[in-house]
Amino acid sequence: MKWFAGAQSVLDPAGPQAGRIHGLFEVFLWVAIIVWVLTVGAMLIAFWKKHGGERHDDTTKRVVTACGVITVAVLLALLVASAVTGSAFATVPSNNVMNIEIRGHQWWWEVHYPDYIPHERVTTANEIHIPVGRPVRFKLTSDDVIHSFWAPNLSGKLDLFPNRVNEAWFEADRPGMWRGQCAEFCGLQHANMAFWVIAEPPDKFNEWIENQRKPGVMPSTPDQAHGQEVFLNGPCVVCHTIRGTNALASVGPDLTHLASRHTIAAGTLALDRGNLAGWVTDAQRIKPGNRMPPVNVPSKDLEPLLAYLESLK
Amino acid sequence: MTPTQEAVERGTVDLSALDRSWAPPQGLLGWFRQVNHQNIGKRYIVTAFIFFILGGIEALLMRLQLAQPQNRLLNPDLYNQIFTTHGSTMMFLFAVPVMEGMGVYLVPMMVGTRNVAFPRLNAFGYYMYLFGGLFLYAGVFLHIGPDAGWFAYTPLSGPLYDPGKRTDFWAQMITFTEMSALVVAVELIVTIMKMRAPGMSLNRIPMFVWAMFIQSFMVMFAMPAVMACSGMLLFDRSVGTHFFNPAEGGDPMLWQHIFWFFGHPEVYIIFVPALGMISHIVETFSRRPILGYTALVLSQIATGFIGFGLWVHHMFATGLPQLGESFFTAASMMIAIPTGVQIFCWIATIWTGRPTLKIPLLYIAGFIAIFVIGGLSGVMIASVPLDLQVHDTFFIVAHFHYVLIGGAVVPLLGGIYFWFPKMTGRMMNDAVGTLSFWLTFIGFNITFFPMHILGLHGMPRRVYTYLPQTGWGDLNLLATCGAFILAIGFIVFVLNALSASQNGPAAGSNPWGSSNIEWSTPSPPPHYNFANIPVIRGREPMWTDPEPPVVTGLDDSRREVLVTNTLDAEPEHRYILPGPTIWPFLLAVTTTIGFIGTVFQMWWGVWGAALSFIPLVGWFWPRERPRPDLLESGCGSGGIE
Amino acid sequence: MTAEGNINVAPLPTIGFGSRAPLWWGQVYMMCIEGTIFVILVASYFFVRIGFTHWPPPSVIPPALGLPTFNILLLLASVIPMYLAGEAALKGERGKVIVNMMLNIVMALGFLFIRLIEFNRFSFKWTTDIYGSFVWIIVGLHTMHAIADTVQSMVVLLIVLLKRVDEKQLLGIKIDGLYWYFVVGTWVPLYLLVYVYPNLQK
Repeated sequence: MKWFAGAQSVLDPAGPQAGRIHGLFEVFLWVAIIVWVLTVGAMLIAFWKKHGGERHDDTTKRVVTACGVITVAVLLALLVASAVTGSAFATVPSNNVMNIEIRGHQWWWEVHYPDYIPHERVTTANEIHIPVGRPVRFKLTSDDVIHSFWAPNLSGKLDLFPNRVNEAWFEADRPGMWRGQCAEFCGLQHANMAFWVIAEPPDKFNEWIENQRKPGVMPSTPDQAHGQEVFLNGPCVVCHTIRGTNALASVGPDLTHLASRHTIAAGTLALDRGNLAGWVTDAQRIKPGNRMPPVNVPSKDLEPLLAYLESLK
Repeated sequence: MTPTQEAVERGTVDLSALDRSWAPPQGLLGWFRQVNHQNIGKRYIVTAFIFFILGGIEALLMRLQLAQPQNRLLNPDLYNQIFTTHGSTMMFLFAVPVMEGMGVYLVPMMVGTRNVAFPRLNAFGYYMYLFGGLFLYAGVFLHIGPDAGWFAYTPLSGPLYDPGKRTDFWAQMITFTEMSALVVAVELIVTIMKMRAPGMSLNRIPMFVWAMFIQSFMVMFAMPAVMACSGMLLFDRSVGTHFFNPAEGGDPMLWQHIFWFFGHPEVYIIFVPALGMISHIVETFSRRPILGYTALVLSQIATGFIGFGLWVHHMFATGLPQLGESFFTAASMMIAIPTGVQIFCWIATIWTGRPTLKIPLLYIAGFIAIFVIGGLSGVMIASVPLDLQVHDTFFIVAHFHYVLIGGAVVPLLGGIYFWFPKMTGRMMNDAVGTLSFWLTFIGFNITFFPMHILGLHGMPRRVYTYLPQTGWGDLNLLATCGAFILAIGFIVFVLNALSASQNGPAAGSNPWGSSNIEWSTPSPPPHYNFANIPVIRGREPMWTDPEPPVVTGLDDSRREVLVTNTLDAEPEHRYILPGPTIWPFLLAVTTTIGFIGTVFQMWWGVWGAALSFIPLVGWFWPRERPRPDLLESGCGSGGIE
Repeated sequence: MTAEGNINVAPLPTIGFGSRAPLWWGQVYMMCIEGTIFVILVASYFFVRIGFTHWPPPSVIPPALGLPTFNILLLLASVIPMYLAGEAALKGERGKVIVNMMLNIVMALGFLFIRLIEFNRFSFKWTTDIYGSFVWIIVGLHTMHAIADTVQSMVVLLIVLLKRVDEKQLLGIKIDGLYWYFVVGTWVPLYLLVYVYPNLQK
């Protein structure tokens, strides 16, 4: 996972929507700067100019009226600019669209790729891979409270409601990784409910999705096999799925290809052994209040378990 | 010669009788029987500032927590309680009540009467506000402060995701404070309609009075909405109704609609009184009548109306139909027009006047510099595409602090500086005042300007922490430093006020040379405000008509005021106001018992109502025996109309 | 000793009625506030109703029309003695005031008693579903208003019985009457909403 300045920024657009909004923002910004300078300038002159002499209230009133009229004109222009930008991507393009379903949970993102035949439907979490140059339609809903889906480099945000589906779409026009974050206050760990959007050239994307469709890899070393045993006989199976095993619960994120992701804990920690160990044994220390209980793994079992999890590419 | 002395010499007033009839009750018990608008108004202002300090401490705690990434000063639970309490305090326990307090104190004096129309209701409203605030803070100090945000979105605030009593404390605090705001609104409207001094026709009403009049109407139609939805939330939480429960056909969107139908006008409820104060300060220190009186009044009325048509712009990200959104975009941009017109009028007044940059005017200059930024970022977020990017980010935090601190608190401080001599009879210290202004102004901008940039760089609101890799650390640290400068600025202001109230130089009745009649009475004013009710013959009576004719024939031996008609303020009848009484306080206590009990067990609502019966009967029970002189004149036997 | 332009208000009466009285306006604005709460509840009702194709939801039987219709007629009739009491008060006819106030209170109590039966006959609770929640809160809030004003009428009557009817009490009777008109007036649209509308939908 490479962080860089602007990985989660309105000002560094990576797709057509964010680009147009950024353009609109610049228009508004310049208007704002000019208006502010003129207003505050007029006020300063009003204070420090030489006062006295005859007062011409009628002339002054005409000037004030003119300022009012100019205000109206400027606002109308901005209104039109805003409406044009808004309608430019109001409708989802119908050609060549890829569908992704997102389900918000306190405090992580469940991601589905429903376009593939049902039993090979891809489920992942907190990481959204998209092909460059292809519009992606998102169906957003929530499992519990209201969340808001926002990847500023790509597009504006849209809320996730329980018992309702909202639709959004965006497109990446260059490969890269961008971070997004829940933007509607959703409780204790609202601050740590992030995700990454990874835009890849189509062939790389296809490679990724092919891999995601496979069940979890079988352990290849005795260590990993022991780890799998720990996983399947422990409390992990109460909440998590690893396809190809008996772990089928859907309370927490799907772990089938955990090791192919860049982060854990909803975009909070880089995926490495140390972080994984910390998370498995005491997730509450890292994200207080999150739904993952502390797991008491005997020390002899911890390393094999981590080895197994890290093998789930 | 003071106007009072003059009136005594003219033989139109019996000062000792006035003193006796309007004397405040004495002793500890007397404190609870007080019904004079000056005392109640001051209580509102002082109480609101105490809550302001508490809200400020919460703000500083949040800024400390965010000063660096992954800070561990506050845990997420505490942080959520603190930001919720901060927002709720500033909106419900500071901003609205302090404006109400200014209104309760100033309006009767500015319209030339002796008290508000319903003095006992006024006292009752204050106690409700006080008890509501104490109730919320009892929760906070018991570590069961509300934690679902000041906007308490369902289902996060609903019974499923917020068990316990936290949100119930919050919702019931709303009932308390809104009740208080509503009674103040009613009594101010009636005071302004029916109790203006003779001759104060609509086109001579002082700007601040207009502002409170408009604000009160907004309160009347906005506050019931929040009472309704917080009540519905309480029912959902305590007796299992389903208003906001999507599983049984309820709708979380319903909460957002009702809440913002209140929540957006709320902003203008805070802002409009400040607009009124600004006009008086600009006029006084420009030493010329305000330019565009009619335009200013109409702009405020327009603001009041449009303010009710904007609520959906808080909900652009919820996925509403596009057509509806466009309407609300247009309305949200249009509200900039009346505000712009007012700013132009003020600048033009200064331009064509002979301004002296005294401290209240300095605050107005600060207001324009800050508020215009907030207004312009407001135009940005009225645009749906831009709002979808910056909604619920620190950009919004910056925006509304620019609007609310810049638009309401800065003019309020200017207004307090301006009317302080009237309230206390003493002047605040100018050197200290200048210092506090600049600390506030600079601290404010250092705190909140960086937040615009943070928001554009992707930092969401209401996060208790953030990762170091985000690069948000430096600007957050800067904002935290600014917050402390800002806090010092406020503290210096408060210390200045405290010290001046004890040792400040005497002010005299009209230290600034202002134009309106509240400056004709001594500072601090007598309990009856004016020895003689003046007759108003112009818009700037102190400038054009310093020795006006007066009203005679009011009975000084009891609390009698003059009722005039709405349009032209022609005398209609005399009106006897009630004197000190304990019943409003007792009614507030019994209502409080009912309200607090209800949070735990719904039946307490019934017990509270039953208990309230006693003080209500006491309240309405006629005390005065019909006066013999009245009976003789035939007034006592009916047939008056 | 009067200076030029002074206004002597001593000859003016010490009370005004109707829109001259501050208290009258206070009551009108209180009614605006309470009316706004009802309007918001009704708007919310329809906002939620949009989400349903069948209303009330099929699991719920809407309340029968007979008893509530009788009750609203009783409520409407109770306006007459209230009006007569106000008129009598203006003329200073204490006896008529007392009789009409009593009549009004008896009718109000009758209305409240029947209201209690209406509540008992609802086939749903506020916990049943969103429809139940709305019906209970709307009817409940209206009942609260009716109880409050009935109690207020009793207090006014008590004052009239125990004290001389002077101008303050006259105003009190008129204001009490105004509030009762509000209680009756709001029930008409609410009755249509709660009892008639769901039956039309079936």
